[in-house]
Amino acid sequence: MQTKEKISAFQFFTMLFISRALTTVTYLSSYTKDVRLSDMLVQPIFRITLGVVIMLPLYLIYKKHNTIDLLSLANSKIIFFCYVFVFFYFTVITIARLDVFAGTVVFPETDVNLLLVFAILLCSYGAYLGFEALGRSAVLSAVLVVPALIFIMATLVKKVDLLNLTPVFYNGVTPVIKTAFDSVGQTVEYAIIAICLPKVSGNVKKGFFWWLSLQTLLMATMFFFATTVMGNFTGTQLFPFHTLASLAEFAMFDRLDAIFTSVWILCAFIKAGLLIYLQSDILHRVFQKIQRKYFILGIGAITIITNLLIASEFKRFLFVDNSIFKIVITGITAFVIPLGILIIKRKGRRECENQS
Amino acid sequence: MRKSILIFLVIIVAIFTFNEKEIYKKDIRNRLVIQGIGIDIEKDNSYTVTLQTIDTNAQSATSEDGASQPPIKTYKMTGDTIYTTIKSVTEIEGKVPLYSQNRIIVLGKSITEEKMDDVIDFFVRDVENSASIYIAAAKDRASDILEAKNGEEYVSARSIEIGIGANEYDARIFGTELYELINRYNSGSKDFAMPLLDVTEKDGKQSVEIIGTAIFNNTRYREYMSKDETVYLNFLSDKVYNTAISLDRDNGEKLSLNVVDSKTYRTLKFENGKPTFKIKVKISADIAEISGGVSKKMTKQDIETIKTSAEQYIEKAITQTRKRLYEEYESDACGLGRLLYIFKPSFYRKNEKNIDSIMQNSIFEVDVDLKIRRIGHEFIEMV
Repeated sequence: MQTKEKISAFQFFTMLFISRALTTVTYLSSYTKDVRLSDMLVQPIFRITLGVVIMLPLYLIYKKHNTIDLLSLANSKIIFFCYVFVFFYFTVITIARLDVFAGTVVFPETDVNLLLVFAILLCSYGAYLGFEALGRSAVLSAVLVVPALIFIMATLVKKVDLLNLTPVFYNGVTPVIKTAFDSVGQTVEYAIIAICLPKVSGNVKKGFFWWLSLQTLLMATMFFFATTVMGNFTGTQLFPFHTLASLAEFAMFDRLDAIFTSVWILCAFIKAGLLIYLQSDILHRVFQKIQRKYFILGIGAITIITNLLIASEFKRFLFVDNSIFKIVITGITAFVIPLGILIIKRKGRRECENQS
Repeated sequence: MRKSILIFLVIIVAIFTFNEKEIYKKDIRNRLVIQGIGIDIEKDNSYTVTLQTIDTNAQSATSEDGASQPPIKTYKMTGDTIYTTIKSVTEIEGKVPLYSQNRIIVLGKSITEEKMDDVIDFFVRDVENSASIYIAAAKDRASDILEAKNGEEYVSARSIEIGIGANEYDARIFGTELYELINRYNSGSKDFAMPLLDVTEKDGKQSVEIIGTAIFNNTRYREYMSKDETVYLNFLSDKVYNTAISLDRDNGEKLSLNVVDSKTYRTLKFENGKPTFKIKVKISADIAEISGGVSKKMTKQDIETIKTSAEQYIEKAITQTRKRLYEEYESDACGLGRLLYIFKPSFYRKNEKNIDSIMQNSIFEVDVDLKIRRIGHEFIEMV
């Protein structure tokens, strides 16, 4: 990863927080049909543990080699393309979810293809502006997103009914662990950390733990309110957190779901922009003669075509947004590849030591 | 480069905008703004859907008291499913229905008695139906409620919604929003409650009244509780925010309390293998009225006596309401049974099919703690 553009650890992890917040607020209830509502409050404990485990190889690489430029250490085009594919896949998923949301909730009677095309063009423009611009936008977005979410939750306090809770582990621990894996699988940010660290200055370790804790807290809080306010109604909704926001009201304002929708769009811009930027940056590294902006144009065009294909049929969205596939690719890019590099480098070092 | 990007964007916008087929529908003049939906089921299993709508082409009418009233129109259609029946209004009026402004859903007796399963899906699936919309049951036909006429004008769905929404100030009404209904509908017991509406007539003018609370057992309507009983059902359900309570004192006086705050704590423990539900109600209230003249000065002792007698009265009323609910109607509409599910899941799993009889044979201990916050603007004897 080229290190011309650098941002602070605070900016970087804020960007990741916004990016992961999108996955949280666009949570689809179909993922968790085997678990009871209160299990989702316990799930973050497993999730945070998995998050630490998944990052261990990367941490050990940093400790041993005093660098975290994973792509330089790997120096393999296959691995480069592996990351490009994963980032492309998550860009498509991000936009596809936005499309399903807009087509189902915001403009149910309208063809939202225009919105979809504009969203991708806007995200591509964000990627064109670069890593630093995205980092600054993320901090600004966080200033808007976090108070908006806190405000929505605060107005729901009076609707909380603890009798809506369910027994924990009613169907055993396995479904809860499975859901934690699902949740980790949806966190492409682990792979982003693996790639972006050379572009980040400051205390990365501290930033990582803050990021992991805060996004887990956000998830647990959202699930707490969804469970205690809506109870079993949560499971009937395609986008339960949006429905939750539609129940929030304050004084004469009773459409707080509009705030939620704007939060969603803002987060989508940051996330998809970052993912397109990363794809263009890795491709530019492989094909150095071609300027980065042409890669952004190409990626934007392919993303538009792919998303237009997916948007025409809901079955296609369900096929693409596959949780097992996401677990596999996130696991490979965030855990297996760093682990492999760690083992190979350690072996190489031992051989050098033996020869000397 | 910039020029080519601009041209590209203009072409994209043009392609999508001029191919937009739904522009016609979006004009508010072409929309039928639905304010209330009433559903009945006929003997041949067809649905009769009554829509109360705002006529967007007509000018506002002025009522007898001079207030501006939006012009209301009603439509009654019959069809095989709720969706196609509502859609068929376009054939009559040439307008596309808009549900997002819908205020209330009224379910006729034919639905509430046996066909709840058939109607509930539409309101959950259709995204335009707000999750916080009120649901009510009609004592007879839902169409009677939405077609009731107060003289020349229809009784508006908006006014019915305001009446039900007053449950925050008057616990004699048991307000149920769509998400609350579905929450209970999808729970183990499938027991719930909702306001019951009826049409009354006086001097040729009709009005829609909330006559009590319809109680459901396993998705079926059983019976209804009076508005006075509804107060105590609300206490059991921890749904009292602000309300008035009147009670008879031993000395023959009548006392009115204005409840300004209330919280019901519901806990469960097992005693001798039997579930024991502890219901602790904490109330903060003002004395609003005491019959028997204004000259009588109150002492601290009087306040203590009022507090004790009011606590006993409310405890008794809650116990009676609980008995009727569980023993006569076999319904867990106030949700106490969920305590078994949450805190004793193994017991619940084992007895899931007999939960009604377990609830009937459980022990319930009611304890009311009343705080007299204010006594009003009358003098107190400072001794």
